[in-house]
Amino acid sequence: MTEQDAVVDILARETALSASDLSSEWSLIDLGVTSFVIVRVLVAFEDHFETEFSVEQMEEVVSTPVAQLPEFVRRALAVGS
Amino acid sequence: MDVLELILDRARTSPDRPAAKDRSSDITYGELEQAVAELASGLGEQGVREGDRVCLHLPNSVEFLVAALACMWVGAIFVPLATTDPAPRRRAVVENCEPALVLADAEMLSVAERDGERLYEGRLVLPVTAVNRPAGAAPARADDDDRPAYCIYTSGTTALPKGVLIGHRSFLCAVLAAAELLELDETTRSLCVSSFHFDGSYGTLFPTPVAGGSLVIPRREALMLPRLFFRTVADEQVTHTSMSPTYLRLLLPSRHLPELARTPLRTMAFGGDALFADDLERLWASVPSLRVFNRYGPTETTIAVTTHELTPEIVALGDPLPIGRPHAGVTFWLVDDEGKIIDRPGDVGELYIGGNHLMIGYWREPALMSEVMRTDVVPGETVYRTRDLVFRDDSGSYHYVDRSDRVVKRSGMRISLVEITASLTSLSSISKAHCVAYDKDGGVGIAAFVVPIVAITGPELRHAARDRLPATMLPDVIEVVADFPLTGSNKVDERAMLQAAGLQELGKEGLRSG
Repeated sequence: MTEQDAVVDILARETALSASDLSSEWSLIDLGVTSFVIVRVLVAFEDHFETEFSVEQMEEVVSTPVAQLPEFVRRALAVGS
Repeated sequence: MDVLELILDRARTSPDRPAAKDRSSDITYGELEQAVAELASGLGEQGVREGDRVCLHLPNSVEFLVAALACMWVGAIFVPLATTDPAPRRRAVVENCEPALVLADAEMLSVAERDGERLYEGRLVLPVTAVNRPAGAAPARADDDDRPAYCIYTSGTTALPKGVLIGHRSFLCAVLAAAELLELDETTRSLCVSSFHFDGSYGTLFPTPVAGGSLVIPRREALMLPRLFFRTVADEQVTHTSMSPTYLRLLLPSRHLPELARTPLRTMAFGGDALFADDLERLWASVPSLRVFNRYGPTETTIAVTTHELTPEIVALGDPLPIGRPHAGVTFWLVDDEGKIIDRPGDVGELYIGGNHLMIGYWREPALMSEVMRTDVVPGETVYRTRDLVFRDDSGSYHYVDRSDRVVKRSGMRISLVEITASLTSLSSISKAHCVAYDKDGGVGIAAFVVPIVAITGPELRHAARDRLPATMLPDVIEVVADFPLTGSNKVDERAMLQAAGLQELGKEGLRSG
């Protein structure tokens, strides 16, 4: 599974958003995903990629357009490695 | 006597003891009293008088505690605003309560200014630091026990939330009960987890300083990930915390959970929605020495009216777990479908609450008030109709079973499906809407079925709804339908709609809130 597939898979599993939501330019918060579900997404990202996000990165995940989250995670992992 | 006076007593007897800390301040009781007096002085200079409302657009912080206590000092009613709510909803609250002043977080204000946003048009909005004046000029303290202390807005039956007005007498009773039953004292170090716009958080925020303990108040984002919660408990030597069962369920899968056993954490209190036996068994498997309390109470009966310690023996009896007996001075009455009081153990009835925790009323909603504050159920007593179904067991403990109306609980918040429906229907693209709760992986999901006026996609609808509703109230599923199916008696056939959408009906037994 590629990095991009893993991100999309986690988002679909944890948020139950539709395919059109997942390819939209709206952020998780814009799409009405609750903070509890966002936490589950973040924990799943951390567990899957064996990394730890900073508080700033966490805040960024919340406001990043959903379609750009795979790229966001890729950049975060590159910074962390 | 009021909550403020008890906290100021601590400042006089132990001025150098730590009172509260957040990411930018760490203050003693003496410094807390000084900060409260300075802000009370400034509020007086701004013309804030007894009975005026002061909105607090502040995140969880020491500043919030100081602002709430300063309002009590001058006799103003503090109104916490949910900083994470959509702006139109916050504005609706401000318009409804007509505050003399909005105290705002300086950082939020500067961001709003930079973006050219006016937070609350036509209202005086100031950061706390701009209001403070020398403490010596503080006005005389208000001392009428019957005056209102705070007004907290909850989900209502219209598109607007309703303001629950709580008096100082009830507030003091609830705070003292929490301090005593949770065994808070000068050695207590409490971690504030829940948002301060949610009254469940007041079961920690105010009882801790009343008991002489100290508060640890992180920003909500700083507890966003479970590992940060565990790190904070360890780093800050936290001995007590309270949270919703929903938040507990985020913590339980963490590999850091066993670390709690190596911290000074002694007690955990839960409230806001139903707590489940298997969650506690998982918690105790990692932290066997932890004492756990189950608390219950609608906002209208001031923070909590029961506080019940759960032991492994009680939890082994399974769900629904007991919420305990009413606090001293509180009465419980169970009423059947015909309005008769029932008293047999095991019989489920609707809970009516009387006694010393009752609200003053709903802000400017007298009709609503007479609907829920009833004098025709229990002879000689005014009781609050909770719409919660409960039963009493043989030992005298009560157990919560379900809601009797169209209200669900998620993330510790009471959510009216009627309010969500009203908000969706107010969108120009929607002709009608109907919301149904469903079983979402064992939790409470909300499905909205909408009949659109124009062609519209799911994300567009969700985005439009986001401007009207806080995230906890947004439907998990929005289904666009041509019309609603009806039952034989011409009611909306919710079961058929759920089936068509592939969703599971909500069971009658207590379900986990998601």
